[in-house]
Amino acid sequence: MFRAGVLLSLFWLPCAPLLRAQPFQAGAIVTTNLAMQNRLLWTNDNGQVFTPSNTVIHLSDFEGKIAFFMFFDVW
Amino acid sequence: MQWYQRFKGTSNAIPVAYVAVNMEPASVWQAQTDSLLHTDNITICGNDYTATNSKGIRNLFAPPTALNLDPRPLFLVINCLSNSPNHAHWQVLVNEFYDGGGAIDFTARIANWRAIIESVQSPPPLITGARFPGSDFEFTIPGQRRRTNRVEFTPDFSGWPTLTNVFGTNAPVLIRDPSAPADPHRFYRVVRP
Repeated sequence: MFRAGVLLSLFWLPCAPLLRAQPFQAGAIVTTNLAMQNRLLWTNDNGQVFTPSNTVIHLSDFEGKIAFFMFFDVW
Repeated sequence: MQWYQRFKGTSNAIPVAYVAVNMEPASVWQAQTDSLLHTDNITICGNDYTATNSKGIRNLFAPPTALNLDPRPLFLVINCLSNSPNHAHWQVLVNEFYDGGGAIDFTARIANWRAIIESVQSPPPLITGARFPGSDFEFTIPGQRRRTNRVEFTPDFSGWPTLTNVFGTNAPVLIRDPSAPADPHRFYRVVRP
């Protein structure tokens, strides 16, 4: 049993990095509906109002468009 | 982005949404963040942090590595069009990130991103609003900026004469066919050469 455990570990350890989630690179399909806290007051094409205090922006809110995201921070 | 707002989308008539995503959670920087958003006329902005998590979305696309501990800025373009003939729904078109700090000239990169965005093809045009309000037969087709759409018709499929060529904007285009009553029935199609 101990020997089997050692063998399993030897096979398992090299595979461990592969089990980490891979980033979505160009060409990949995004499989999660990205969600972020809304910051500005805006209205989408369907008339849905997004207020800064209590709404979340989802990737699906841009259905039918090409979405360009710029991630930034000021410093 | 003002380019796409002005022309109501790409040359394939696909609207483009510009979304700024703030990654800076520190309260001391929020006024400056708002100032930047206002100066750049940004209308859609989200925060990529919560009370317990920071940069969670950024990390899905550009996780920190030993060579780049805090990737920023990140430029991300996603096709949210479900029926494009050449790009899958939710496909990542651009994923580019940098290591922050210093001034970077993005002129060449912007041209490249624009070329990628313009490469996304729109679905085949649909003829809508067909009606006979008077003596003319009318219907509407979607326009395409800087592209020609050829409207053709046939009464019997022996040939497809051109009814009209449409060149112009991304707005819907009303097509009128005053000669439609000459045939008992007509079929129409839109060709995008």
